[in-house]
Amino acid sequence: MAMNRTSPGHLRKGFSDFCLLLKGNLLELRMSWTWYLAFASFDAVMFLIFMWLVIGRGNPDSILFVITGSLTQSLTMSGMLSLGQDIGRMKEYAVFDYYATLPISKTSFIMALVGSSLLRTLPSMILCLAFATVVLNVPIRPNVLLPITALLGGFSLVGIGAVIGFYSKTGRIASYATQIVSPILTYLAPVFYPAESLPRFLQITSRFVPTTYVARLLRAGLSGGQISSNYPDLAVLALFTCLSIGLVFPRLDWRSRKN
Amino acid sequence: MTESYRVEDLVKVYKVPGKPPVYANNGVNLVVPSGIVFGIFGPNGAGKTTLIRQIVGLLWPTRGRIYLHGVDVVQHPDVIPRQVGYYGQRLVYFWTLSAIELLVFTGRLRGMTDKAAKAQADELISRVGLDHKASRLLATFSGGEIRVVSVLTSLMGNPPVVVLDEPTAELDPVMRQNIWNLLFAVNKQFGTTIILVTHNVLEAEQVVDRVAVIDEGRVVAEGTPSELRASIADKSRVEVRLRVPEAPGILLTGAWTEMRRGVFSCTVPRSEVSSLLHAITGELDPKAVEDVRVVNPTLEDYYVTVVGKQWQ
Repeated sequence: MAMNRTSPGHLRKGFSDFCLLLKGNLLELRMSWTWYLAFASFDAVMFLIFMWLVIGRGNPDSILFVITGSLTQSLTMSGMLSLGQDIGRMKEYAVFDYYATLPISKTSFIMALVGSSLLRTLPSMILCLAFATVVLNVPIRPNVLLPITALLGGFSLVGIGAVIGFYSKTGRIASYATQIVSPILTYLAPVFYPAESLPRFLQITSRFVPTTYVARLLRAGLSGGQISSNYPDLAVLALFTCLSIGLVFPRLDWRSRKN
Repeated sequence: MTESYRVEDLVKVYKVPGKPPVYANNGVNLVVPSGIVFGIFGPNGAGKTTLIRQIVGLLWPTRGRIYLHGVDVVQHPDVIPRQVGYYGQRLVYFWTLSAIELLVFTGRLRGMTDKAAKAQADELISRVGLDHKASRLLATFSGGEIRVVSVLTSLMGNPPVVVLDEPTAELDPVMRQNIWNLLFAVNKQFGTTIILVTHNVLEAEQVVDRVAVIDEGRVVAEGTPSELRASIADKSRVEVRLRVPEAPGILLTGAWTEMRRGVFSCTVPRSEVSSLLHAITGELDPKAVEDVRVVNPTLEDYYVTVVGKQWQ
């Protein structure tokens, strides 16, 4: 007899699958984790230095935007870019067929992909913060708002990533699609600069983009802001996350394809 | 007799803009009884893989019904993964896992305990003769070995139905035999229904209980191997193996086909075998001939008769 989706047995199996899939995804780095760490850290720090030289030098407010922008971009990459591209890449090989014919839930599968992607982002995020504090002398006072934002931010865009991944015919198309969406979410929203710098039209549209809230909450988090004073932004970001997971996931037929 | 699969009037149409639609499956009807090894044969492009991908839920049918143990899986595709193990044509790329890790990983995702998954993984690996490599990363395996491990993943957790798309393609003879032996053993030991697509009709004949031949998207023949062979029982195949590279003129006529280099065959009614032998012995130089034999029809002969129209 089929288990109810909310039964303890179903939830236990879902969580167990999530842990196994997460481990499986992380093991992909088994042979190349040192190179991965070097690449991820180097890339993040170089980007930070570049932005600091271009817009933030001698200006602590601007450098905070650069750091939080960079972190927001990393989280976006985890939640959406990586997910879309990972699923697309899996389709290129038999890996997707392998997973799609196993008795695992769509939620466990997607969450494990996003989870491993977020974990992979962690070293570069920590390094960015350390570099900004030690080398760029940015006064950073991280608090609990930071991990909450990171988690909500990472999952707020998984719906878009999943749609791109599942509905793209090839990994290449998924890659193109995610790279088209990504700049819209980071460059046409107040991620690297204050909202006031944007044209009026974008100031309005950016309110409907989760990256706006991720960047704002990260800035608050790094400046020592408290959860209680950021409830509205947290609520909106949580809403985006719920919509992303709650509305998109049930509609995705992840196994079958029309073509 | 219970049924594992029932496929009714299955149609799969691929639409390409600006081109006429392609009917990969065009009204396929099949019944796969439980506990048997069911072979699906057919030429390249016949629609076998399209059929397989639909019955394992990876592709939506354009029309038609697929029942798995009585459940309409077009309506309820989530039922399939709990009951069906699948191996597709392509290799499963998990380079950074060892063979045993991949099998245990698969078993755990199929709901096995860690201990049970390890025990089954060890047994499967041992049965195909890869025990000495079980703990090595798949990155160090040959293509054939990865294919074998990929096939084994479909057996983890002992699903009641296993669907395999060309499980022995590109394998050496020993590995192929190991796979056939394993599938035969799994079928007998657990009563697992095995549905397999293969071009290796000759070898598959050892294990299949029932066969469907698909051509141009339709089932053109179905039955047990002996039933199918019986339908061409009034025919025999005459094979001539030459010692010399140049084939004499009689072997170059339309009735003869070069099966392999220097081996020619001709399928004729039994009543005509003696006259054919008489004709070729008169024409051929005995020094040029290594062997002449008359062979009773095999499943492969039947297959060639059905789909290899150019041979008739």
